[in-house]
Amino acid sequence: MAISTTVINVVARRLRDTANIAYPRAVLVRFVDHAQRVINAYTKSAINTVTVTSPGLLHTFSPVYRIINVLAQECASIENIRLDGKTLHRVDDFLDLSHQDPNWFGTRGNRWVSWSTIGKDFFILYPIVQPLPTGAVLQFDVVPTRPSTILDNGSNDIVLADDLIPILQDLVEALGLIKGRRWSEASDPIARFKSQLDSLGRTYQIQDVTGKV
Amino acid sequence: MPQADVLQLVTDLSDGLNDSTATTNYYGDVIFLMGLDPGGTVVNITTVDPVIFVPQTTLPASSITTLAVIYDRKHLSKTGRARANAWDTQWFTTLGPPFAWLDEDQDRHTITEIPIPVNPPTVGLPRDPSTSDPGFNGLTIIYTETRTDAHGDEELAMALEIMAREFSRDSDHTDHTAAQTCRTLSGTLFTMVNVSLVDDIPGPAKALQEESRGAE
Repeated sequence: MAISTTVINVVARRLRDTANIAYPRAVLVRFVDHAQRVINAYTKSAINTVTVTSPGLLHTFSPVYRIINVLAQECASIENIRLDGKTLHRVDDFLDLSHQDPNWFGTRGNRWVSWSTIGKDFFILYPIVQPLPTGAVLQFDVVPTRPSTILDNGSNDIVLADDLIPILQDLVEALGLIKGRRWSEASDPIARFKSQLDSLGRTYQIQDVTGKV
Repeated sequence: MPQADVLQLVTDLSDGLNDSTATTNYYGDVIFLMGLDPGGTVVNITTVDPVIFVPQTTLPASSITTLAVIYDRKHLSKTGRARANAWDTQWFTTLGPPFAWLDEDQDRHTITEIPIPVNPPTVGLPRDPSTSDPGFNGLTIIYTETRTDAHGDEELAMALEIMAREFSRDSDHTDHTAAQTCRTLSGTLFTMVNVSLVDDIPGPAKALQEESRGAE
């Protein structure tokens, strides 16, 4: 894992501003922060697993859950949901649930079969599980893309894998050149950034714009 | 993430050249365009109570595109006027539990249920079905919306799109090369975070614009 200081130093060198006069470090930190969020949303390079055990988070009146209420964090996407170690079926477009079951919003069952997301704020666990016996705890794992913590001008780890650091540096360099209104120079890191993105498909499962892998 | 994050990013990227009022307005414009995408990411869910014996239901004021409508627990099909007429030429007055909805001939924040609901809903207030019981005979609407807290991964793309608009407008810092650079990069970043920014110019106007571009 690279640390933010290293990335900022490299970009500052490329911008010919190692003293951070025209490009203050606080600004570069913000650029790195936002750039890594985009790259991670695209590559799913860093994901984590959140185990949900609190029965208070689950309800029986609808199959819809707000992601931030369950995971206590925002995420760019959910990649997987497991119940008792078994991966639930992912429905790419929640509207497809209505083809399978027009009453999906109210169907009840003994265990979850599939899941889907609605935008980036909600997810569906289908069907609604019957009320559990008193004292029983239902535990499931949610695998979201890992949200990056807000970086500071220190030694925070970049959440991206090391092979994505050159892409991150190119994007931050482009943002720096845009800030400096060096438009013709910005086209070069933008071109490098795009060509590297094209080659990422070999390593990462890249989602297209429809959300299907 | 709050709107202030994006505005700060625009200020950083434009080196303080941006007009703060214009930037705030552009933020609203970009969120609206994101909401026009039927695969949108700025989505909300609300259960409202239909008025019994009245075919229309008013959607939340923040709604942009209606993605799905659920009556009681049943997912309603979206239909059109012609199909509704084929089913029943009296559909506008037929009573019963709804099985379809349409938004033709309505203003932006209104939908019509077919047939007209007659069973009284049980709760009373608009509610979020992810946190409270939607009750019975309610109408649950899933829709894209305008808001002031975009997702963290979308903020950079939004900031660049706002920059493109800032440099396109007539001002002392108008710069079409800058606008084009920002728009190109924002388009790539929007694609990376699964957002399609729908062009806000309707068909004929867009065709005219493209024609005039060709003439240049």
